[in-house]
Amino acid sequence: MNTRLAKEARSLFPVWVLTLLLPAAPILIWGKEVIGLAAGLFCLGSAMLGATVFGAELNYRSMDLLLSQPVSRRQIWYEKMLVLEVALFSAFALFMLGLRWYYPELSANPFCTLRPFIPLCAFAATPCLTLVSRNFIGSVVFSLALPMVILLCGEAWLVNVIAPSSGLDEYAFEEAFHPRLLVYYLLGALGVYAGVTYLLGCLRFNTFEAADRPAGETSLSPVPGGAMDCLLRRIWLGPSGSYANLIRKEIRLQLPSLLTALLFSVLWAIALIIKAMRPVDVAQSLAAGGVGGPLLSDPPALLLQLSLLRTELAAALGTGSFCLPGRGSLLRFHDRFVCGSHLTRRLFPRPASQATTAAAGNQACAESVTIVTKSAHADSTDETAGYTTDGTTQARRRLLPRSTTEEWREGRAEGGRSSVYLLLGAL
Amino acid sequence: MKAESPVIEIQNLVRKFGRTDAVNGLSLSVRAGRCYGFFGRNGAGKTTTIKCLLNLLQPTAGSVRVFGTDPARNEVAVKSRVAYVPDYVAFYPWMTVRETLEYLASFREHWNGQTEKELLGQFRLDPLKKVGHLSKGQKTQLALIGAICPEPELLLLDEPTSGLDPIVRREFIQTVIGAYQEAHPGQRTIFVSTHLIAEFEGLIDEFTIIEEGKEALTLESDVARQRYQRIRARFSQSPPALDFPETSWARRDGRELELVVNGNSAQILSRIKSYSPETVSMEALTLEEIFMASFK
Repeated sequence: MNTRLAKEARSLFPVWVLTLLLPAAPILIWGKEVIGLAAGLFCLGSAMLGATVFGAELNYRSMDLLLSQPVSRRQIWYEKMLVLEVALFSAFALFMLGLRWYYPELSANPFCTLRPFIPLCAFAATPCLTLVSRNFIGSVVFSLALPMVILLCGEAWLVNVIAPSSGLDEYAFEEAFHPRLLVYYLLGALGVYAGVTYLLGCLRFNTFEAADRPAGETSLSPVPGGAMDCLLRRIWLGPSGSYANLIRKEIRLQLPSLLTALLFSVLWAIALIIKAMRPVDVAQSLAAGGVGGPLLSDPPALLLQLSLLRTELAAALGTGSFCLPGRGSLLRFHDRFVCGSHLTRRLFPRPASQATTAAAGNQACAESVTIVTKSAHADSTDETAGYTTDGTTQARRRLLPRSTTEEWREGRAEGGRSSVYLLLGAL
Repeated sequence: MKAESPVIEIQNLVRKFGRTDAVNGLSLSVRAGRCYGFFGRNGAGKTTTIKCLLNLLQPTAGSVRVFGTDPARNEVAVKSRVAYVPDYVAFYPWMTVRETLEYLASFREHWNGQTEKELLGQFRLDPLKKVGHLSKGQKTQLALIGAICPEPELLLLDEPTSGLDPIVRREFIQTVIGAYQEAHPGQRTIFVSTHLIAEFEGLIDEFTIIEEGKEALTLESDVARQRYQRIRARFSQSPPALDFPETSWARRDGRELELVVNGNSAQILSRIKSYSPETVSMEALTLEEIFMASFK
């Protein structure tokens, strides 16, 4: 085997093993209910694998060594990409084979056609993001976040543009068009995303500069520059003060981490505001699930909550008609509350035999949501009429058995506690 | 490449990092077969300049030519004739010494296995040892072996002896670099950036001192030694008040006068002698002292 390819393979091998172990561990520990979590962990492992290709060179500071060798950068790029491609798709194939072996009855839906995009996006985008961010963790975070942003945009487009113009109500639209349209959108958008980021990565590597920025910062004289420096100069002890230098250096060193933390903090703040403002039980339960659960890995849930909030505020102000959240929204809550994010559960749905059952700990909550789903679904029932015509919180509460409401409250409290824990963790 | 064209030619090189000028209008030329010293304080722009020579950094302005070609356009052609030892030597920690050398050899068309064997023995490096277990000095030794075995025409050394113990340092400079250049005199060029100027004293043919990204002084070593002289004189009374424009540095201590002069040393010496000192002597400065004097 070519020495250089062997070196690349050896470099990726530990992360490749980790990519396979990450999803296997929760399934082996908790069983089949956590397939969504396992799929999410496989996505994380794939992103780590993609980030290792150049991230390892940056971490070892061996980029100087690599780029000073008499081989064209294009050849280095192709060699690295070849090994990454083999690693990612072999890991994906093994993961799918493992799932098929463990879940012979694995369900299928339109979202399953998107599965190959997991290794494809990791292959195309993560090296580019690593070269841009020059940071392993930053590239992993952004390579997971960017497809979610694309998904978020797709949901926003469907919910806010396409659905209102279709003339159908939310539920009918969800059932008739939503999954299919979203899959078509994602096929196109993720394909374009993968192609563009691959080309950008290739171009970026061709002009990549092996600048040792942290070392450069410490060895160069402290000449202030840039917006951050101007800000520090205004608020601190002068441009060359020791504290200002220290803070400036740390901010520059940790900039990718700080930006990531800022992004997460904003998401958390939005989620907590939504949670505080929601007046309705169903909505609060959704918020509790969203905040306490995998909000960060499920941006569509956030969009959904914003959409619900807007609708409910409009109803409260008496300026609009009140409507229930769509069935798909509630199912998202159901799936998310059990385990795994919205997208991963759609990509890797549980076996049909288990699709309607929830984990023991969340059984009551899941049932309560199912009740609401059914009531929303039955257009001819009095309950539904109550929802659509009355539009008040009291009316909604009247529809539910007392025990169910209490269980929701418990679920809310659980969500609230977990949100506090996760917020502390994020901080 | 034309026979008379320099191996390295830098003209008005500018490289900025944000608003910081790491290199600011540097020009220098290195002829084939020379051992060229590149001296400067920390942050003067030495590493940035060397990285521009290898297209590891792109110049903001100015031009860089290596073997008469632009390293950005003919990257492979240039690098196949160049070997580089960076200031921070980094290898893959999971590789052994042998695997690292095999990996480096995989990039080269020519690799002298005999030299590799000799240098491994000379540096007492265990080929089966993991790179992650090597000390900083041993990693530098490994990088030097990796740079010398392909027998390049141009050796770019950025602080090559930092981290080496004095014995290995002397052995490396005198035996390895000296032998490397003597094998093909007039063809093999060394461009070395270092703080340990004294260690390279006998090897440096020409040097440039860089300060804040600009050329402060470029001289051939022999010319520099002729120009920079230290004059010591001892008088029977306090030394006379002398004012020489060529003096880089002067010190009075009791009846003694010590001057470091930059040119016209014979004229200054005769003028001092006219004051009838008890003793007077003149000696050439070392390159390190010249480096120090250029900042005073």
